[in-house]
Amino acid sequence: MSEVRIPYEAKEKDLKVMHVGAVPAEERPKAALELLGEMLKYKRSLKLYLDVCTHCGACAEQCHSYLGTKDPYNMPVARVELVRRVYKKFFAPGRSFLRAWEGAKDIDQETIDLWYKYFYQCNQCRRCAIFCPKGIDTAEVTIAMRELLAHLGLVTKFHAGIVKNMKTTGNNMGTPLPAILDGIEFLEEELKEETGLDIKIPVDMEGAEVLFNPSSSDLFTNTDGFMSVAKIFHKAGVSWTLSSRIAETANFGLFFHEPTMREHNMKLMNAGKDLGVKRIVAGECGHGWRTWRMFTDTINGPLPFPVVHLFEEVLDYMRDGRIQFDKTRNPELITYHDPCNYGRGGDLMDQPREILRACVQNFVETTPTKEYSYCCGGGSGILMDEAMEIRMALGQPKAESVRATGAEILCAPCAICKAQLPVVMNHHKVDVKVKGLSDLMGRALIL
Amino acid sequence: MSVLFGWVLPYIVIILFLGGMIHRMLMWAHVPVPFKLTVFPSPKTTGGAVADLVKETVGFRSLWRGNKGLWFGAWLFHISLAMVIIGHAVGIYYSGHHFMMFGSTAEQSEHLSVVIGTYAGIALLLGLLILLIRRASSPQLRFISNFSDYLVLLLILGIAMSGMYMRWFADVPYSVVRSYLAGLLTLRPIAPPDNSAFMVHFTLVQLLLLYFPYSKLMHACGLFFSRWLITRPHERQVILK
Ligand code: SF4
Ligand code: SF4
Repeated sequence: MSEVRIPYEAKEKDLKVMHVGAVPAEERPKAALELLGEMLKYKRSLKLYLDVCTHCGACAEQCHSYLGTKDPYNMPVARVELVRRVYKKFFAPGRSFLRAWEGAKDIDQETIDLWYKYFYQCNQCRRCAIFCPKGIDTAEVTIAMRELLAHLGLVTKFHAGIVKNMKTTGNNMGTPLPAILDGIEFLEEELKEETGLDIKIPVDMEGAEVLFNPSSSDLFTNTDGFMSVAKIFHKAGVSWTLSSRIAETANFGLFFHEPTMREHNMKLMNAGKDLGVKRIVAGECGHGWRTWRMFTDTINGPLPFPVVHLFEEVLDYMRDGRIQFDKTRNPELITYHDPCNYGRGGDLMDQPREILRACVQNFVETTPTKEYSYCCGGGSGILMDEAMEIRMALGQPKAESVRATGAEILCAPCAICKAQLPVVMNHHKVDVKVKGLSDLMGRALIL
Repeated sequence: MSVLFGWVLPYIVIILFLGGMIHRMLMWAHVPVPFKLTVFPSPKTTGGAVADLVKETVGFRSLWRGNKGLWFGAWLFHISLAMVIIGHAVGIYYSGHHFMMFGSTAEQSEHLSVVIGTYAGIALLLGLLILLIRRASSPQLRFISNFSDYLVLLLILGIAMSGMYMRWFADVPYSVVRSYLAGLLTLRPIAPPDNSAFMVHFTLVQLLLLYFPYSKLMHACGLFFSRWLITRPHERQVILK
């Protein structure tokens, strides 16, 4: 059993943006029980999953977290058992001796430490749900338990920082608006230099057809991908805009704090309504995409416009013949990593493949792939440096499946995957470059 | 003694079993599902989702995907259990003459009923043993197993063995069991069959039913609820040409 854990160092003042206070250690068990009781009343998934598991163990070998760490508590069933035993003790029906047979156990401070440790070693990848005969999606339990921990004031410093940045600047990196505008101007100049064309990157343009919402990391660090998108809109002749209020598709609230997730979602939808756009197009980010596609309806009711993914939008242009690709510009052997929240989480498996086939010459699938694909190991936002050892262990199964393809380029169209995979590949000595799909589209696009 | 075990207990057991089971299901149904939790690829229509659910419940598709050995043990156990339960209902109701519907003689029908019942019983025992040995021998499985995981297997093993004992060594005719159960059902109980193997078998079944609503056995009902969460069909917002 590894002793590594991610420290929860968020300070009281960092927690304020989330409207939670730190609960003193000795009061945590009691507070945790109250919170768990509340959650059982509004999350059917949680209650069901605590009730119907038969301890068959079919999920164990399917979790990359267990495969990578060999820590028995990282078997999905054992992870959930950490909560289930408390549930059996305090909430399950039936006489107490019956519940004792089911492993009922009291809650103490150590239980909470174990929760913190192991629910931060789950990437919320949902692979276990594909293999569990009862369809138990451990990610749901992880989401609920991290939320519970957040209400106890147990949040990683990294996550608390991101929530704060998002609230103050509308992006996770905390870049203020003037700097964003500067950066955009610079990118426009770059585009001019590279293509000789006047490719604009409009901000807050009212009445634009499309509001494009990139990951802030694409806007500021992986700018090639972002510039590719500008080129595609230009070529397709679509009027588009960014919003100065929100330039972030990665919604970290999903991982540990539902109110933050909802607020983030609302922010973008309101920006879209105010600008009067016809659709919102989400950029490369896995879990962000899941919240846009699957949760927007619940949070914002019926919307006047659809929320589509960049790949769906591009596919539309491609099939209409509004843009063309020259695949000889991507001659390398290229493989594809399914971000968990595109594939299992967000119904986006065939679209990126269709685009890839149109813009690269040599495409090879990993084994396993699509809904069976392994997570990059950075999912659920455990991207912090403090978690490096865990991240590398969790990325191991993915690294092996990429190594086996012999690919030169690994296409991983998700902001988190793009941050995690280069480090993982390097650590496990897999010689491969990691790129977004936008980068590859940009290279192949015939302007 | 037989008044208590044969007359009074069965009524209490059946009420507790059905009541407890329905109560648990209502409790699940009362908790809301705020977000769509579909796991993809998902069916596009409700019909597709139902078909998916059927494939899963009859064929154990998820287990087949990941672990063929476990699939074999679990599937063998569940399918033979289903056959045994159906066989009990039909065999006892028709006193083993149900195959006459398909044109056999009474004797052939009884014989066929015994043969099928015996094979199903053996398959059930085999399935149980595979699951039990698997659980007890793997360190991973031992790590995640509670007392009740073994208890349930042993209880069903006891039921299956006492049943097979009756079949092979202590012949209890269908007709005797039939009149006894008919008496219970029509609220005019008569004395239970005077046979200790039968009483052991019958009592173990009642214990299992009593335990059912409070144990993991509820997965038999919960499965449909939990699978529905992730197979719920999802309509795409945007239909691409
Ligand atoms: S969601 Fe992924 S990381 Fe979490 S328990 Fe399931 S398989 Fe493991
Ligand atoms: S596969 Fe499902 S039912 Fe089996 S142990 Fe894992 S979570 Fe429980």
